[in-house]
Amino acid sequence: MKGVYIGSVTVVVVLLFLYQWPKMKSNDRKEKAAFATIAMIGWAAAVVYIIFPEMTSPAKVLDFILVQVRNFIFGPI
Amino acid sequence: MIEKGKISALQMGILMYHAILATGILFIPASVYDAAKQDIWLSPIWASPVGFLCIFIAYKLNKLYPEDTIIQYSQRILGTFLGKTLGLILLLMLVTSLSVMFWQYGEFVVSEFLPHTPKFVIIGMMILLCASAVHGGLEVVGRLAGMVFPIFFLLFLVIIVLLLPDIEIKRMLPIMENGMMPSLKGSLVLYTWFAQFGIVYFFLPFLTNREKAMKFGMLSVLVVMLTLVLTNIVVIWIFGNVTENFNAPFMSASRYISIAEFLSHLESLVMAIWIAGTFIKLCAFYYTVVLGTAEWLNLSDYRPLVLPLGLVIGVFSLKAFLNSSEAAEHFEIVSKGFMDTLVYGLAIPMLLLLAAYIRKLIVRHKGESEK
Repeated sequence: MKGVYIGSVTVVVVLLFLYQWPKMKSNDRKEKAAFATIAMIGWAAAVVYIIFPEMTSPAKVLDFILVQVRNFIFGPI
Repeated sequence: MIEKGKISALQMGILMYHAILATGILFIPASVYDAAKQDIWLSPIWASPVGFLCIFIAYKLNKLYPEDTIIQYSQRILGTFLGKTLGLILLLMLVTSLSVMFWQYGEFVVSEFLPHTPKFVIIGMMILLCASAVHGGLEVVGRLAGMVFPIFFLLFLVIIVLLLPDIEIKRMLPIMENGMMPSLKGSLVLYTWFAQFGIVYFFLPFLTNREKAMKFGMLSVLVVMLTLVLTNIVVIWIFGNVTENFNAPFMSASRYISIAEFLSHLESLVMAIWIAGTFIKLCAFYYTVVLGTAEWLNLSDYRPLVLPLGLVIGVFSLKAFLNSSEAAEHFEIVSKGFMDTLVYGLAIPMLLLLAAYIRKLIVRHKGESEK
């Protein structure tokens, strides 16, 4: 089942490329690099979440960091 | 400048109104009730100074660097390396915040209206819709906000009026039973919402009439405050002590409406205005993320980034919290008043403004000593 999910995420990313790539001019190398990098980050994140569904999320990491900062400044509540 | 479109100060005010209120109108009464009890209607008044302060700081920074957004002037104030680092922190926080908003939207729609639809369909459709609006640029988002606002406000007032037969004013008594402290503690939760006014620093450079930005920004905070006071007061008049049992009291209140047997089930109206408002809110934040990323990478156009960033946000929002008890834990942390919105809305701009003034002083000092 995980293979199907990974396959469908890959299809979504390929569709993104097919839609957006022809729209960018050939001399916009920076844009193309940025587009490809961010799309790859999204794909990698999706695949990691499919393989490890229980993994932590940015929201929880940020909460943890903020609580640590608050405890450091104001002392534990 | 990357963004070619322009919006008016009034449109910015309306955009911010939706960006704050859309989620707030449903969830605020229950989350404030824990601390403030029957005084929940006072809490927005105590929390609104945070909103005024955010607008004021963003406006002052914009006066110093009129053509730049925060990503650009943070580099001019703090230097390239520190500025880029600060910009990256800001963008990561915005992405995280946006993913939580999308999660909230998905969770609410699934739990209240479409229980059999998978969540990735609901969130994915919303991201596609927002992406098409953001792709059109700031002008499109601004005009959409202007279009939705009258309907939003009118339907909101209609629901308030229809609720009037059910109210019992003595449920809000005694006012300030235990002094001011409970309502002040309740306002801690609201700082999260009011601090989101900080994101105007992404819109201020693109205004046609920038001198009115302060006026309409402040007006927006004021209207948000009044709307929240009205919502909270009506909720407390209807539910009194049982407010905390509801996830979204305003929604549940509208289920009570039944006039002459045929005017009932008005929760669909609340849902309609809520979806419209949330759409504007998500668009506003989505736009800031896309524009900020493009400026951070010094690109000449932000449009290619809309779809890939949507993918990243979608993935993170689907997995933001695994279940609603984890989300409750998150909102528990929020209710203690230390929150990412306060950091990116208030703390970072305040730091930048301070640094900018110190920088100005040093430059002036140098100039005098050279004479």
